[in-house]
Amino acid sequence: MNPRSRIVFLAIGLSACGTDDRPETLAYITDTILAPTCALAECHSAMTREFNYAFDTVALAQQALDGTDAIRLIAACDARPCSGDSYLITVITDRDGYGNRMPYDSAMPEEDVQLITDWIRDGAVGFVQPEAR
Amino acid sequence: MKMLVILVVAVIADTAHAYPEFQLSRDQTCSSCHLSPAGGELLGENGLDTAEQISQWGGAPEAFYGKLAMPSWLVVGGDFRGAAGLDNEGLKSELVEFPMQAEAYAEAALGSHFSLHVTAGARPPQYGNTASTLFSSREHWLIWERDGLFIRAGRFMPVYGLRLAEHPDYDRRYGGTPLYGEAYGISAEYVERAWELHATGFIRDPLLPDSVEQGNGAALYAETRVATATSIGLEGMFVEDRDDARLFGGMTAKHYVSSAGILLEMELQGVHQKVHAGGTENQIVGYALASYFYKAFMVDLGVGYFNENIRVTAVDREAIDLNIHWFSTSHLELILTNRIQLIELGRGGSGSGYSLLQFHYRL
Repeated sequence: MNPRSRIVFLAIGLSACGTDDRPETLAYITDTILAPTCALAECHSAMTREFNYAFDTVALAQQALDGTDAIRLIAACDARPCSGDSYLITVITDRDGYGNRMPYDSAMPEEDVQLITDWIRDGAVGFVQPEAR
Repeated sequence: MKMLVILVVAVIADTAHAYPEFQLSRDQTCSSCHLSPAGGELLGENGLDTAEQISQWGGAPEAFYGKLAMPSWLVVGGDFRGAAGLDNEGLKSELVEFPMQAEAYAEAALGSHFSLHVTAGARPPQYGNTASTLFSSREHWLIWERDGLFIRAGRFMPVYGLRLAEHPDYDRRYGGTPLYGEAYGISAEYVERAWELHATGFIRDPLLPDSVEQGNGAALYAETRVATATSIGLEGMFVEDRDDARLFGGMTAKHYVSSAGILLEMELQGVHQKVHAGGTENQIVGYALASYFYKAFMVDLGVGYFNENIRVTAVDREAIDLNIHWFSTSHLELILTNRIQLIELGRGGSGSGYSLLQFHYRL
């Protein structure tokens, strides 16, 4: 590769840096955001299931967001775009019913909150709405 | 208030590990003070001597102060921890108090080369299922040992990285060895003064499917003491579960500046995560720690860095930890533990922190 080509490739690489092209899917959001930030052993892991929410796996996240045995975190949506208002966003940006913002030990990065908000607005791809089951 | 206590216990619960700060500053290997080849929990003769020597007021370091005669083939111990202080999660500060750990250990020699280890005690219970989940055995293994070679089978934490005691440290939380990350596995380990090697294969817990480690995997950690006061380690781990696969790789380094009584150590990892349903992430996890020893005190100043996706801006976390340990007696330790945590140095979200006084009693 000649020096000029290297510069072009480097420029392409740097321009890609910082763009948020992460997939808006339940699987991706669970594995890369919810699991590492919410599913700590002592919190919303399968092991502890604080307030019956667990986010270790996609299947458990589906149950938690659906509010199978607790408060529902994502509202049902038929139209597009969906409303960004959901209990999940309220909990991670403001406070839950007990006055605590989640994650309890430290805030979620705003970029991650935005990705989750966009995902919900775009229909929460991968999340099976109760009405669809 | 009850709700708050539950939440804070949940976030800051702990389990005892060794202090890797003592490696190189006190002796060359973890196993020279601990019975386990990985360090942690039960102390051997050298570890008991160290516990007495470093403490302010000493006292018999054996379990039950040596008052309870144990058969020569049995070693017992335990750790009890609790904490109180100020916690700030970014929106508000609150005074908190909570228990952290109550666990007992036993190791029984079975002949001249085999031994059986059991760690049992309280754990964070599962919501709505407290009675049947409050007590458990976090670790139990059968080990064969001869001339520094260990073969271990059972439930234990794969040996990987610096193995710092504080589980919020980024190299543990995001670096492959989270709290309650123990799994059933088998390991081959070799430890001598100049170098050590730990190879572990592990599986998703067939008995407790709700365990923290949901995948099958393997871990490798190799460390060489390139000089009496310097070590370098290489590490790699692969874990795959139903949803994703993660590949960890990195290095550790330690150096003890004996003239200043300061131990420097660091761990740096790259993590590649592949989500089976689509998407990948490349992450960076790092932690650097300087430990200063003065009489019965150990002062740890640590800096952590975690970038959850290097292609996306403003999703990196930074942490500064200042922990002051006072070894008052052979058994009692008080720790003032403090953390400030930021996202993208304050530009990616609100910061958080805590200042807690931790009580630790070693049985």
